[in-house]
Amino acid sequence: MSSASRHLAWLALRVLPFIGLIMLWDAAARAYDVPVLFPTPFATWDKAVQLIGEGQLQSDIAISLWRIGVGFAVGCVLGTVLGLMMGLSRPVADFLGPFVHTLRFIGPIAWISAVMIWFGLGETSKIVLIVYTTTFVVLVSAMIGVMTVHPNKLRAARVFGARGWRLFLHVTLPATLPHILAGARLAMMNSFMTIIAAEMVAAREGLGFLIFNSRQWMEVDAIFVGMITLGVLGLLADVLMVLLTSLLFRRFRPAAA
Amino acid sequence: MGFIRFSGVDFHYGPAGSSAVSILKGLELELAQGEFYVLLGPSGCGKTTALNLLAGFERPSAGTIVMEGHAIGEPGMDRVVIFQGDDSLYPWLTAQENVEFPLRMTGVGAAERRRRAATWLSRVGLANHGQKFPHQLSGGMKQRIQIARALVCDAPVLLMDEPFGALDAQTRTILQDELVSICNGSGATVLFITHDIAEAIILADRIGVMRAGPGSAVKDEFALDLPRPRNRGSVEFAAAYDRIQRVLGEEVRKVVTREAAA
Ligand SMILES: Nc1ncnc2c1ncn2[C@@H]1O[C@H](COP(=O)(O)OP(=O)(O)O)[C@@H](O)[C@H]1O
Ligand SMILES: [Mg+2]
Repeated sequence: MSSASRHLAWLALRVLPFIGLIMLWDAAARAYDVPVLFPTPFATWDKAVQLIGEGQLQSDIAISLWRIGVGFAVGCVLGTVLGLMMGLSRPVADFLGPFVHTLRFIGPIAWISAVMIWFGLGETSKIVLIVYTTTFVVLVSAMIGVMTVHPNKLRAARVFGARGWRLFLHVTLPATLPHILAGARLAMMNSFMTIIAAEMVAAREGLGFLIFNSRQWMEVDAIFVGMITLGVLGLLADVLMVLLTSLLFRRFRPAAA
Repeated sequence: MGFIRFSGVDFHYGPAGSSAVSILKGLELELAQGEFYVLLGPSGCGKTTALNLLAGFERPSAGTIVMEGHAIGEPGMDRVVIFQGDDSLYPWLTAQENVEFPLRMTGVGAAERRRRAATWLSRVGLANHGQKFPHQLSGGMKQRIQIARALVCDAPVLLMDEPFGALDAQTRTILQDELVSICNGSGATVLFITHDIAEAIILADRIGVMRAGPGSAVKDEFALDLPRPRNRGSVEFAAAYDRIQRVLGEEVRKVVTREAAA
């Protein structure tokens, strides 16, 4: 195959399903026959343009991303530190284990009510929930990462005289980094799910609020705009993370291929 | 007197005095300074265990291991290990950085580090691969990194645990010959583990054949004073192979019979 036709095939593979999906959506919307309740792609596009014109969409995106960003960053640090400590120290693992392994099954959504009561409707409550959801995913990844470092990696370093901190910095940490990064990537997805739930229950702005609030006015087109925005932002965040990871941690890529 | 000496060494996993089966029982082993000693035995008999004890990764349950009159303590740069498989390499470091690693741990300056690592990389035939990561190299090349990483330490004792076990026959032969030329006249004392008789004969000054486990120890020893490099097709090679095969074969048969019965 020539390089031009290969490019064409690549393009077709990526673009065609997209066009197919939009056509399917259009057909389904027309079949449903009540445009207000199930808007077509074109009606949704018009709504998006309108929301952007009003500045509404941008401000909802900004506030949601800000909440995710702060919570995710804090959660990553917290999860990494706690996970490394649990992986390295048996007493710490025994002490924190029961809490961690119970709490990680109490999803952030179960916490929304309590967190709202304690922290109110302001920013703190949403950020706390994102911190919570991020921490446990990163923590478990970091802990498993430490525990699965191959013993010969540590033994070799001990032969060469590394002990304590040097062993940790030169072997355990770099060997665990791919697990931590994989955990962070999963945690980013969880953060996107959590922020919507939190903003639906208690917020006056943000994408979750946009989606939830539009229900009151039967603005399904605005709901669609919110959902699609979410998917696109999530995809961009994921691509950005993969890109940053491969730039900053090229040597630590998870599965070297 | 032996440079390294195992006297009445027992080993079992678990706490001391527990009723766990002994992997090694009454192991006696003596290595002269500068000697290339090959430990041969059926798989699972405790060869790696014996090496781990000398390296200091494990402690004997009974008996003593002494080197130059001192009991073996923590692992250290005086007994450098080449591990079975390539899990001991650091995938986030290039070949060059892997070889520099021991020097970095001992605080050797960057320029000196680079120079010494580069020398050993080219001696093991990796001069043009220093900037590659382990996953970009073949199994044989990865073992060459391990060999360079061990030899850069200038250690008086080298412990090698089936370093060529996972390689194809051709690559293995080449690396065996290279190891002979590297070790010849280096003065290092080597404990080399394998289950391959031909490999043992190519490399060894002396060969110890271990009994099938549990409770294994050295059953028989063979001194080989054939000149190096040794010829795999020679009459002397075949004769030595035959003598050793008779002793080792009996132990391997025990293992096979037991496994068939289980
Ligand atoms: N961590 C361990 N815990 C318990 N038993 C072990 C452990 N490692 C090895 N063994 C057992 O010890 C015996 C000797 O193992 P090893 O020294 O690795 O044998 P070899 O290197 O000769 O193949 C084997 O039967 C093996 O199953
Ligand atoms: Mg072994």
